Amino acid sequence: MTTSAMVEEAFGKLDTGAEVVIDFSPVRRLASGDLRELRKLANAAEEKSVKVGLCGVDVSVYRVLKLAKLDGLVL
Amino acid sequence: MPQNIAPPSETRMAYLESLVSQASAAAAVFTQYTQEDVDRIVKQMVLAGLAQAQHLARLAVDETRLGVMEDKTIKNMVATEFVYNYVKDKRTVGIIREFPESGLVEMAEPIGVIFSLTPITNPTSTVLFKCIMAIKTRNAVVFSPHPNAWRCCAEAVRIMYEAAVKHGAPEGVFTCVEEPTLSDNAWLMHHKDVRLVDATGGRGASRAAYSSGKPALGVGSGNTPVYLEKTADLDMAVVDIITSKTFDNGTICASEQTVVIDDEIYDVALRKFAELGVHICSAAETEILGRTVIDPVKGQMQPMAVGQKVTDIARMIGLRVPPHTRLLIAPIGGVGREYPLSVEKLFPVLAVCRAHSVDEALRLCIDVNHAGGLGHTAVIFSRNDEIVKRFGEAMNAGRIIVNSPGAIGALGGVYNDLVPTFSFGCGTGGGNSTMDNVNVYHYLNIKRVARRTPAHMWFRVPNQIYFDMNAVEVLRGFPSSSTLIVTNPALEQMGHVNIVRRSIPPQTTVHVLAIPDAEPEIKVVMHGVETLKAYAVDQIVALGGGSVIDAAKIMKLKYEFPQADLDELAAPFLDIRKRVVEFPTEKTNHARLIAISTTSGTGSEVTPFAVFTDKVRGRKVTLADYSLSPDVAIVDPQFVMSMPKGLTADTGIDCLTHALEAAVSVYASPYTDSNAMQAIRLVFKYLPIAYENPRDEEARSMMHNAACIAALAFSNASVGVNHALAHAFGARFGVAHGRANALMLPHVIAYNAAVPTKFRPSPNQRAYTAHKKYAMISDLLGLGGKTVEEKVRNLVAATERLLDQLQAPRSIADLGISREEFERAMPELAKIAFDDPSWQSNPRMPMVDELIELFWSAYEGRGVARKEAEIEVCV
Repeated sequence: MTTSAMVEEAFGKLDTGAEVVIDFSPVRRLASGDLRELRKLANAAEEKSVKVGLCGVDVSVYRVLKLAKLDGLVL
Repeated sequence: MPQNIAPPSETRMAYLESLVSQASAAAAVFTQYTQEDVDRIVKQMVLAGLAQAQHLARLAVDETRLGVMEDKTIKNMVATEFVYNYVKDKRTVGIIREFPESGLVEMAEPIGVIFSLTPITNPTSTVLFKCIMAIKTRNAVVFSPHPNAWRCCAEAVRIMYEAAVKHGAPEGVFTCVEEPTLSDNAWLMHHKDVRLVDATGGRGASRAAYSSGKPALGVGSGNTPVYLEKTADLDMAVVDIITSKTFDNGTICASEQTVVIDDEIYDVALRKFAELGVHICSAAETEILGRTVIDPVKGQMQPMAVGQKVTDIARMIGLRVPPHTRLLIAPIGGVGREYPLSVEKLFPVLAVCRAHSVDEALRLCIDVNHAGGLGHTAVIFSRNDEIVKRFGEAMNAGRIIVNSPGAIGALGGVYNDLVPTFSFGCGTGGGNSTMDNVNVYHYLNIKRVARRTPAHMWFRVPNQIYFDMNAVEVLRGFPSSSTLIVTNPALEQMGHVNIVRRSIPPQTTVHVLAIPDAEPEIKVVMHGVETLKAYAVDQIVALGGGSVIDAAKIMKLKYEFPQADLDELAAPFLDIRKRVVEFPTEKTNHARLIAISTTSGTGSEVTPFAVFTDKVRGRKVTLADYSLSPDVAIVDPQFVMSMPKGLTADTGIDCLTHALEAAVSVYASPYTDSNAMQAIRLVFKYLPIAYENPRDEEARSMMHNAACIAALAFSNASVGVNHALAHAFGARFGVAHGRANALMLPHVIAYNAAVPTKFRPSPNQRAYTAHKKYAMISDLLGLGGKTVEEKVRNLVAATERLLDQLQAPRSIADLGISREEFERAMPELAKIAFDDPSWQSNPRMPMVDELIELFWSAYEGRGVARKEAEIEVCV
């Protein structure tokens, strides 16, 4: 499953109102588009007051999220 | 944002924000790329740039109306092919360099988002160059071209971007501001996500970059002086200057501006220029040219002239020149405001100036260099290496180009091995942060991973040590034509000198110098040196205690190296391996030093130390260097059999202190440990016997060995805080060194065994082991105890018992020093003890308050026994 597919799937769960956790352990590299999607997901979750989190984040991926100021998503 | 520049509109801000935002995301993603990733992308970008070199050159000329399309094509090719050739094998990701011998590894860290200003003069080539550098270093760039060159630059960015992304670069890695304004630039420079401002252009762009408060690479304008020296290859020089100055109509800021020509070749040089299609201006033409192309108020070139064809410039002053004229040369009489053409001229006009000597030529070049060209470029044509060197020293220029064209020479990679660049750092002279040809390393943060590198250890001792009864007889084996025995009057009276004399081969002329038995004064040493010279001595036999042997060491030093400055050699040092002062090595005279110790304490016969007193300045001076170590040591107990009891005790305790301090020193090693431990064992066993029964030959012999063995240990591991305290206290109250050591010893053991308040920085100290070392010593002595704490306590108690057996004074108060007197002396005592270098190898770094506390413990005495239960041993 690609990263964007994982994020897409998470979008679908936002309406359930429950906390959404994405298992990021298979993710080894992020593209610019992935960051865009993640940012959109974070914004949408905030609007719906739903908590979204990433678990199993690889160190180099974490570094990218940190630089992109998306590290708040990491559980 | 600067107050004098209005901020962009909301809409414009949103646009600019989107550019930075894309770049930020790209920069974050880029951190995951490998060296192979970026190298693959860079190659494809270079190929794309090369393919479009002419197209971009044409766009640049069409838009800017500056320069020559054909030359701009070459610039674009240099910016791609030559830059690629330089960067292709450079490591810019992960580990970029390793220095195994020093334990250092350099690692690359990208910068992030770079905001880059590009100039009108070299628009597309600068963009190509910066794109390649950025990808090679995993950075993202927001470009803001010169407002009159933004379209061609945007096209160059597009070409680079598409090639990069097609081959895997992150989206958004390059963005370019359309129709950029000063307001845009100011806003972007201050954007929180912009990590570096890279401004290539005029002085204004550079200043703005540095004023932004962001890290900046601002590089600016020049004013290149050229010295055409009389030994130059004139034909080559003339062609090179024309090539350079006419290249892209003179728009490269490193191009030649004023040529200073030696008088001897001035006329022929101008004739050669004229033969190659250069118009030499008359005085009147030069005057009107200066008024026209240079702004008389600002003293700077007029923008309308920049990058224009020579025929157009000639037309500006009503001058008709043939259509293929290459260059206008304007002879000027000097440099400065009265000679307008002596400033930077980025168009095909060259000033020339006649010089009547090398000095005058260099002065004129310095004047040009200082007239707006500091830090940039200077050129010389000469076959005289000495003059080239003088020129290099006189010019403040990041690029000093020799026998090559300035503009193309400074670009690097074509005429020389300078780093190819389109951004010339001008150093502080030009108000820049770098003087380099800006390159990939300026687009990187370089992290240094520094591994621990303990100092190299050693164990250095004299070549020959002879020991046991009658060892002195080995003197027969040392040939000498003239020997000086340095001793003291008492030893002479006791007949010791005669024993030595009998062992020296009969063919040797023997002289005797008896010196006072006290720490040697410099005048005593210098008298000894004169004696050595007078007798042309080739062998010194030092017979005595530490004072005599130390005196002989310094005599030998001054005899062999008369130029040795004792004051300088005594300079303090923190680490002998890194000391500022080096002992001399070129000997004027040669003399073998044989040391025969007549006490069993200092071990001076094997140590690399010597102490003398400078009475004139009222101070004690310590010299330390392995070259001071005697060549031969003789440890013959016959010379200590008659030592008085008090001296036996004092010197024996000194020996014990040496061994105990060497054992716990931060420089202790298995080599020093073996010696220190053995010496301790010998002292505990034999010192009481030698004290009680001075004629016991075995005890005397073993104590004599112990002193030498302990000295072998502390010569390499050094001593500690006990010595620092004893030196200060002994000097202030006139107490013998061994006795002063005894007063401090139990307290210092307890102090070093406890949890340190402060650790001394030392790469050789891998763990705090002093308490364990003391426990080992305790085991060695069979003192019993189960825990480290118990063993340390037992060692302290055993030391106290030994001191009691030797009837050593057990408190400073016992010496009759009143509490008030001691209190008055305390501030100075503590200061001197802290200044003493001895503690620097102590395992525990003493704080001044702790030194005071130790002094007071010693004043009270026997405190350790009382406080036994309170010793908090480090565990």
